Amino acid sequence: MSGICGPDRPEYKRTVHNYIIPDVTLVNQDNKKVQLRSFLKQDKVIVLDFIFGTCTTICPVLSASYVNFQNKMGNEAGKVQLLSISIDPEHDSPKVLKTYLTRYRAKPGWDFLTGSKENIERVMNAFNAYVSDKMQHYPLTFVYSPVQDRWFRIDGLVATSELMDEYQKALKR
Amino acid sequence: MNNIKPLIPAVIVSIVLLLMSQAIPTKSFADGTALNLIAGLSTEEALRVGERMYREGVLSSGEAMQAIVQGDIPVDSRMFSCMSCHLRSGLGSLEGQVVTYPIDGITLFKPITNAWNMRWVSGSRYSKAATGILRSAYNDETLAAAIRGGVNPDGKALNYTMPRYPLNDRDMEIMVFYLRNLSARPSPGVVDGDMRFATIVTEGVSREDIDAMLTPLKTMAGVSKSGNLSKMARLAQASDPDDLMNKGYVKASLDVWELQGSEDSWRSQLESYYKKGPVFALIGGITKGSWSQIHKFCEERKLPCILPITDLPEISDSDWYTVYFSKGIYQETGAAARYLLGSGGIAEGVQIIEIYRDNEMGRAAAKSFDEAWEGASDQKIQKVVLSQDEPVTDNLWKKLLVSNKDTVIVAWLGEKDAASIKSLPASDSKLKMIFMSSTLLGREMYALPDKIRKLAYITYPYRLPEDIVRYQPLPAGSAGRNMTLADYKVIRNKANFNLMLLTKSIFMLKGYYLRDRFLEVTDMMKDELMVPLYPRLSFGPGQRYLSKGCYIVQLGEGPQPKVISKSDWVIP
Repeated sequence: MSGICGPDRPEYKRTVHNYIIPDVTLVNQDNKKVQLRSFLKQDKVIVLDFIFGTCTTICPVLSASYVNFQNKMGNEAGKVQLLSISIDPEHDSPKVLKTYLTRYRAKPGWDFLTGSKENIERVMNAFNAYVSDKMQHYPLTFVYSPVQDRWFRIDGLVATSELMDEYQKALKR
Repeated sequence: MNNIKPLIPAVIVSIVLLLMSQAIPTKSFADGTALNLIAGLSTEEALRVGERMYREGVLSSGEAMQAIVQGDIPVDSRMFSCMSCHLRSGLGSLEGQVVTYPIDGITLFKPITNAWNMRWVSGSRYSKAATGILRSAYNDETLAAAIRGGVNPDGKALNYTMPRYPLNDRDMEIMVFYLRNLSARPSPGVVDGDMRFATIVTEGVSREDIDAMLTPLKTMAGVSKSGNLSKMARLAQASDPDDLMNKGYVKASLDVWELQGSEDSWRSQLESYYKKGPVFALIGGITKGSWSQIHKFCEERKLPCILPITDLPEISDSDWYTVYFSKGIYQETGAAARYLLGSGGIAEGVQIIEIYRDNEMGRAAAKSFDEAWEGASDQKIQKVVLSQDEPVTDNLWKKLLVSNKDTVIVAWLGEKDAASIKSLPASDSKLKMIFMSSTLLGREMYALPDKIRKLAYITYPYRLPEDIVRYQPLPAGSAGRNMTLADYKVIRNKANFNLMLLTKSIFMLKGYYLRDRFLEVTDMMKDELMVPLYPRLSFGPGQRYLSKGCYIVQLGEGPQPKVISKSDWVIP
């Protein structure tokens, strides 16, 4: 805010991938076990990001984007599954995840997962999103198209309108 | 041992002496009239309301601040506030590829040079080559325009990640006043080039343990000179002499505050020490009991306290000023509950008996176990609470095990009760498991008889012996035998780590001698994976317990038993 400027309108980078989801069990905000591979085999668009509960900068913006996306979707919100995966599993207990979602007033359809450090690292590696230290992470959002059975990888922070565009693209063949 | 002489004649780092003479600015009007009212509020009240806006995102009306981020994402500040990114001190953060710049009362109102920017972002030694102004100084009006419309004093758009806040005139006046004062003066404990620290020892701690903690801290100067100090010296030489960062050096000193008597009397002793010589931060410290009184003192005095050695830390999700190695006994017993629950729990019909003493440690151990258990299982726990001097007799064990049910005993008992644990009727086939704590048992853990060891599951909050030898030299004469916790030199290791952390933190302050910043830079440290004592110490904004897990182990046979892990690193 000190007046160091960014570009007029930051552009994000979009690439398409076929990620192999590891067969791991994580835990959600309600302390329920979630088999990630089967959870991600839904017949609806999935939006996934990697965040952590005490993040200062990137995650709050990603999460504000999620909740605004849910609001924009209105009655259609059930057609998309939002998923956040903690990259700080030692700190982010299910209780922390629950508090986080409440703070953002997340609606049903946005789940937040944590797990063992080893399993979380396997997932991050699978999405080519591994960072050795959480403070070195960078903004990433993944959109799964069930129609194309592919993931769109979005590098950078996006506006809600841009996320809506990606959602529409994920619905097309 | 009171107020021992300053240990370090000349230590470390640069200091922003310029900041020390700043007074709270008075709101000035165009006609030159100076008033002490800000938006109709006293300066003190304006700072309080401004702080609430900045930290909690609550407007003077009590409503949540609204903003737009990334161009079209509406947010209200219950989700995140100015402090989320710019942090308490206003000096910002560096997270991955995103730099959040300082908005403190000094930086905002002076021009930012390209050279400053290079050093701020990357610590570049070559920044002297950079020329030119990156951003002109703000004034009240241009700052308001930046907050509302995202335009800097030179007319350029700010990064879209910076929210745009449509504040009304009254709230804007308060916010600008708050920012003018934010971190505009160095914290107490930095005077005339002397950065003053203290550590605390309390009555009841042995001389050996006190020395184990103090000896590493006394080497502060040597470590700095051979390590980071030389790096800092190079950086200082390469920096712009007119810049506030990396200028000159400051002396550091360490006082020892010795607390006598009961914990209830500590507060007045702490106030007295503080009044005699305010310190910038407390480093380390050691007690046999609870840290609670010192913790509360530090919260109220806004005084950082870094890594005291205690098994009874204060547990809080929101307190800010004390950083602990772990949650101590709370972490161990919580992990025991999590292990029991995670391993499928206890079969229906098995009785669980929890036994502990009605003292600080016993109650803390039971509280944490019970909270973890009751949140996840309906199975009832039978509790046996012993008074301070009540003996644990063979009859008591027999009475508890009289039922025909299979039994799990959770025994949060200490060294003094080890003899009675040894007399547990382990041959009773109804007794299936005994859970205990290595911290509570101390050296007696290794003296448990084999018949008990077979049933004993012990919480173990450090690296396993086979792992620790990679990180710490074996003590003389220990070759060929298994390591015990005594070999770990726990206190000395903790003090060594504290010293290393202190050196790094002071370096990362970049000359901004602010207590809040001291904690913020600690929060921004990379996770430590190579520490001898712990598998990992992890940092993060506001995270105040660095080691977050615990092993559950069993013991092998013999006088120097092998420590056998029965679990992964369990997070309670």
